[in-house]
Amino acid sequence: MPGYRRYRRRARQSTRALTARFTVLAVVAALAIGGLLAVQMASGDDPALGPKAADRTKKASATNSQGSQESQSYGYYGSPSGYSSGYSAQQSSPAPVTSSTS
Amino acid sequence: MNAYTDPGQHVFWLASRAFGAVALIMVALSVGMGLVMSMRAAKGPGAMARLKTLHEATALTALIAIGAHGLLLLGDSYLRPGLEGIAIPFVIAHQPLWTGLGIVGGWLAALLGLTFYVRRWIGPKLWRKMHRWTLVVYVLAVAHTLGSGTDSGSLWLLAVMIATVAPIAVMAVLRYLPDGDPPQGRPRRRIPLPSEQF
Repeated sequence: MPGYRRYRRRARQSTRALTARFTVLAVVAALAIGGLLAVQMASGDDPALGPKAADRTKKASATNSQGSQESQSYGYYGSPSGYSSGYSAQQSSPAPVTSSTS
Repeated sequence: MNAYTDPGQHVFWLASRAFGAVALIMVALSVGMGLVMSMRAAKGPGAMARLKTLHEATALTALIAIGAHGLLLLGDSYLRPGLEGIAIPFVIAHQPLWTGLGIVGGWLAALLGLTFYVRRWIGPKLWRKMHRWTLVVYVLAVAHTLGSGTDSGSLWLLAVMIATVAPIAVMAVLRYLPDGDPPQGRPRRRIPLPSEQF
C-alpha cells in the first residue's frame, strides 16, 4: 500500500510539473501568435480590421486630393460602418465629440 | 498608423485570439491522446501511463488557455462583453450563436475534464460515460472557431485545423464504429502465481 501511495504521489508530481511546463509553452506560443497577429494588423492585413484600414486610407487619400478639410471630422468612432462587422456588431464605446460648432 | 492598424489599441483582443488558437490546439492534442488511450493503441512498457500523464497535462493546459481566451476579452474596450457575455452562452451581442457554442464548449470542457478528480465519488462507470462526451467539446471548439473566429479564414489557422481535425475524425470514427467492440489491444499478461514460478 505505501508503494502504491508513493507511485500515486510521483505520478501527481509528474503531472503537475508537466502541466506547468505546458502552461509556460502555451503562454510562449500565445505570445508568438499574438505578435504575428499584431504585425499582421500593423501592416493593414488583419482579417477584421484590414479592409476598414484600406477603406480609410482610400477615403483619406481621396479627401486629400480634393483639398478638403473633412478629414478633421472623420474620426475613428465616427466611422459610419462602426468598428468592424467581422469583429463586433456592437459599438459600445461612447463616441467622442470629434467636431465642434463653436 | 490609425485605430485600425495600431495593435496597441487591441492588445486584449489580439491576446484573446492568440490564446483561442492555443486552446484549440491543446484541446485537439488532449482529445487525440484520449482517443489513442481509449483505443489502447499505445504500445510498449509504461506507454499508457506516460500517455495518461500527457493527456491530463494537456487537458489542464487547455482549460487554462480557454480561461485566458475568455477572460482577456473582458479587457477589450471595444467589444466590452462583460462577465455575463463571456460566461453565459448566447448572451453576447457579437455572433451570439457561434460565441455561445464556444462558451458551452468551455464549460463542458471544465465539467467533463475536472470530473476526473471526483471519479472516486461519482464512480468510474459514470465518469467514463461522461468523459466520452469530451469529443463534443472539440466539435464545439471547431464550430466556434469557424463561426466566430476572426482568423478562421487565415491559412495558418486552417492548416492547424486540418492537421488536427483529420486525425481526430479518423480516430473517432474507428473508436465509435457501431459494428463492434472497441479494439482491445494486446491481451493482458497473466502474472504467474509464486507456486508456478519454479
